[in-house]
Amino acid sequence: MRSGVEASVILLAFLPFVFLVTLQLLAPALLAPFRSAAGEVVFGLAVAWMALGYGVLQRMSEPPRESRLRLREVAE
Amino acid sequence: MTAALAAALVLSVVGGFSIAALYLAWPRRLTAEEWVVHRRAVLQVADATGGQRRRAWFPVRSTSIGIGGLMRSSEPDRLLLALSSDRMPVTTEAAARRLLLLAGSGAAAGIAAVTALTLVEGAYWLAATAPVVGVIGGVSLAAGQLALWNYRSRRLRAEVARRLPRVLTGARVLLESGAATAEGALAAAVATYADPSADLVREALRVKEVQRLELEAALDEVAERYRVEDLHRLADTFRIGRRYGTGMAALLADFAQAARSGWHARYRERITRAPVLMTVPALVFFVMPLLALVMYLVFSPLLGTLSRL
Repeated sequence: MRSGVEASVILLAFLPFVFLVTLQLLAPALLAPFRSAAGEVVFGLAVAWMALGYGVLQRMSEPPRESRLRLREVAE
Repeated sequence: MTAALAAALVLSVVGGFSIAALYLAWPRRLTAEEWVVHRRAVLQVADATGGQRRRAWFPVRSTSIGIGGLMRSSEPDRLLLALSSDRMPVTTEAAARRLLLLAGSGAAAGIAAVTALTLVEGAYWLAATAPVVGVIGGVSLAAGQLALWNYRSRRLRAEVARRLPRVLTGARVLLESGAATAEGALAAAVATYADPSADLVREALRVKEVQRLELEAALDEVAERYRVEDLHRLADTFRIGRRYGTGMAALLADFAQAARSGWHARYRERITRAPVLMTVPALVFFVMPLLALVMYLVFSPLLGTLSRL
């Protein structure tokens, strides 16, 4: 069940890039604005935002981490 | 508008809507568990009244939502967090002082920012908004602190729910070895582990000794004080065991098993609901930046053309 959720997260993360690559293959002239300095900044911000989203969604679907109980002698 | 620009606009709209539609209407069958969760959610919404919704959003005993009500409602959170942090204000006065300090700092920062902006821009009408921005800054910082306490205490309660069975299993091991009496085994187990769940049981044992209560009553008192539901259930388990003469080791094993099963059921339900809960973050983090990129593609040539006019 969790692997299904993880697959959804990966699919969502890759879908925008698939769209952009398709656009690059079909009509490269349309992506010309991204080759300017401002375009690169906008593209970088969007990718960073998506990477943050990928992290958030991964965190929502991650299994709980089991850590050992600390012993009081070790802690003090 | 050139033909290329019109085509780009149409392509952007079609692309944005298709991706959003593809995500929302991805063809798949609901599993039985998703259907059960969906039906339960629908029934809860249908049965909910306004008062019940308010209780869900503000889980306080009192119905008043004033400053005093907020302080009282945050008291169990602060007490619980104080178990693992020395800097947590435990008393109501100390917490009020911390919140007032934060509110004052937020208000001062807001007023200073608006004043600086007024002086830099030379727009003196902005100075009139300084009090409002100050109030917003003050309220935001104080509310943020309360929300942070609430968030951290909820996480700590979840940790306690997950780790309490392991502490109790430690006590059961001691008990089955015949090394201690029932309460002696509990005391030895909580003295062994440096963990908030062990600290709570140790607090219950301390209350039992100091106030000369039964262990069940002490557990109930600690559960009430720190708002930890699992200790109420543990108290009920002990109560039933005492009434029917069940062995303490069997009780502890049963409680630990039930707690673990309950935790797994909650986790399973969370993962079942995850695709639904992920809809909004997916729209915000993937569809929105993609639309922004498409809009940039559409409008940057237009702005370039306009700037040359």
